[in-house]
Amino acid sequence: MRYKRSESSVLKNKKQCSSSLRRRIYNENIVGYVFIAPFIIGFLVFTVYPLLSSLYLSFTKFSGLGTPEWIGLLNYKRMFFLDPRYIKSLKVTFVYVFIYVPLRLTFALIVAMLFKAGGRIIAAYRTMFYLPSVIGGSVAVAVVWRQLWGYDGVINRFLISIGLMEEQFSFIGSKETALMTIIILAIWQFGSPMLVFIAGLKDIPMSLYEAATVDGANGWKKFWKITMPCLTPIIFFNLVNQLISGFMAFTQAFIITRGGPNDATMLYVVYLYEKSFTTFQMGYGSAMAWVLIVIVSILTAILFSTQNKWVYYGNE
Amino acid sequence: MKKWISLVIVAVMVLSLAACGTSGSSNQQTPKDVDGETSATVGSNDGAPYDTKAELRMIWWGSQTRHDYTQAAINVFQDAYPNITITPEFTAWDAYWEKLAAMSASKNLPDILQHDYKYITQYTNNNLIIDLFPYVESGVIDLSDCPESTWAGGIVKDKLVGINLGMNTASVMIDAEMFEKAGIPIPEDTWTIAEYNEICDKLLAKKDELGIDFADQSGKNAFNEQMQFAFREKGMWFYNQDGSESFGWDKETGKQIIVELLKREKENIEKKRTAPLAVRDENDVNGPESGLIVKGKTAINTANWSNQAKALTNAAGKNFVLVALPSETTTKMQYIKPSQFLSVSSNSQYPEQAAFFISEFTNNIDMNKELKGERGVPISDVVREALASSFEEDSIDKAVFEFVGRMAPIANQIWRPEPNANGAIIVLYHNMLKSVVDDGMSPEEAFENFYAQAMVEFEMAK
Repeated sequence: MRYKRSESSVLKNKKQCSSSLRRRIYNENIVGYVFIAPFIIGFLVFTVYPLLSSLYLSFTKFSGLGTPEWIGLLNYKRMFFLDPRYIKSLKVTFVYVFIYVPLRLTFALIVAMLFKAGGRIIAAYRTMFYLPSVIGGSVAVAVVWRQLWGYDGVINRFLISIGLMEEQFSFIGSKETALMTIIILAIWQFGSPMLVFIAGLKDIPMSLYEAATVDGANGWKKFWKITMPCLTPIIFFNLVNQLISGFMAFTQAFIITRGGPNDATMLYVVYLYEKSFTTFQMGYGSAMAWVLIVIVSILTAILFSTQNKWVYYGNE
Repeated sequence: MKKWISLVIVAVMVLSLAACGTSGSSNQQTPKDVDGETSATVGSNDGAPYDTKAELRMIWWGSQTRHDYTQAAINVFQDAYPNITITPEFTAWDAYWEKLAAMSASKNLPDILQHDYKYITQYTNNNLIIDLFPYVESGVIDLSDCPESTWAGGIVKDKLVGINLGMNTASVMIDAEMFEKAGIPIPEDTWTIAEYNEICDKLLAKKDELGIDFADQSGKNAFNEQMQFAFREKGMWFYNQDGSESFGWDKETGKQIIVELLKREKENIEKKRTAPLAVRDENDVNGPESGLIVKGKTAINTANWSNQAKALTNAAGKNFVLVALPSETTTKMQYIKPSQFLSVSSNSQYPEQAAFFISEFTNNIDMNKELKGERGVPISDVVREALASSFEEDSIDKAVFEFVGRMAPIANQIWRPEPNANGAIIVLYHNMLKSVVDDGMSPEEAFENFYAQAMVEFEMAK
């Protein structure tokens, strides 16, 4: 009897054990991991591995052929002390970002205000204004842009025909105007922040405006006292987003000017590309990429640290 | 709300920054010893070669025209030698070297590579391409119809690492109709820079009649050539000829020569003899086919490669006359450049068949009739004559062949393949020119900046 009981308890134990194993296998977490495994593996192989190897390469001299040669911090030292072209590209990038981000956001906000109202025609309009963002990043638009602003381009002809200019002038080949043409192209693509602004505007309770109207506030006052404060989280979101994409701008400058004339439009990533893929200094290019990450992270961190001062979240 | 926004921002940042990381492959391997392998496999070419099947891969860069011509030539080869199959791969120039670097990292280079003067030293130093001299000695590669000067450009460190596919030389393109209208005779090949200036000024005097803005479009390559010429005329080379990463001149001498050149360029641009740098840049980005000479806005275009003449002629719808580049004296600084090479990769399983293909590519008249001299004037005398006789009278092809033929005997010696830093140095000296012409910097100061940066580039390219 006693023996039997003990046997059954062993069996019972065994059963418990296997069921706990089974439970562990069929545990929700495990299933979850299995389902995300394809992404995780892809992420490790295609993102983490290249990321780490580029970190390693940033300490080497590597032409893409043969073996990377370890040179310590030389690439980083070269960037800041030995390469005036790098410093110039940093300056150009900062000018680009600090002009284009505010202008693009202002434009996006103005257009979003106009399109806030619903209606079928407005929706069609909205789509039209979003179009430049869909096609604007493409190579084709950059090529057209180059033709428009070129020495023999439409803008030239137009300005001469209305008497604003006397001689043909290459906007994209002159250092005073080259960056401007690229900034204008970037501002023109205000579609995606505009959409986010529209969503944000629609979120602001009408009751606030109604109360303000009753109190006799005019449109301007309503904008500054209601719309702007309620919109600050959205502005913050757009600001961070645009800032990051501004530092990574590449296509337009690469296609339209290749960084010229005399490096006047040598945006950071264009220079990085030139060093990595036309002169094949992969190590130096990698080092630049890592410095870019640090710069963008610092700016983003600064923005985050200021948000308590000006960003208003409704629940506070 | 706050948390959600932070999360989205972080995700966006991480994802977007990931795109910045250059994903250079860090595969490391030691290329196998090339010399030991080839000497063992070299056999003699007995006329009916290769009973065993061999599958070769071949890669080149170029335009659609080149792809079509090359494919047709490969078909001719495969019909004649059914045991050798050639699988073609091709891309544009920009993507080509990235692709090749990735292939070399995985030891998967195609058997036959089209190669360029710019990178051939690097590939030789990394033992990625093999020495073809053993195949020349055993007769697999037949160079008996090709003068040594035409293929010697493929020798790097005493190894023949590529067979030249065609000869090119820089040219000055002249719009003959416009010269006639202005009553100016077409200059001789022996013209000097003083004569060039005089002709430009004469053209500019009739600017409005001719409808031109500048006398000479002057491509970006013009300054490259002038830089080389300026040193050649003083008996020096621009780069050190011992293959090291350095200039072929000391700083003081170089300063004098370059400052002189910068002043001359500035004067030419100010007098409208040549187009402003902005217009040249634009032309460089847009491609020569949309240049000012094609639109009839200049009468001269300096320093187009002879193999570009056809594209420009087609775009303009009229033939241009080709003459040599002007130099200080009547002695020509002009040189014949190998347009590109065919090389055999060190990981090829069939190096002998690959070498044989290259030999046929060079000597086979039927193949070259398909290739149509698109890669430059063929190096084999026999092929060149056969092609020349097949061209129509007054065609640009014939004019190009004649021009290269005219230059070959008077041409100066070509320098050895450029150092690794060459690409970066070209950018630097074009920036130097812009600082002087557009920003009003003194030539001396611009030179100092250029020199300091060039030294860093050499150091980093070692």
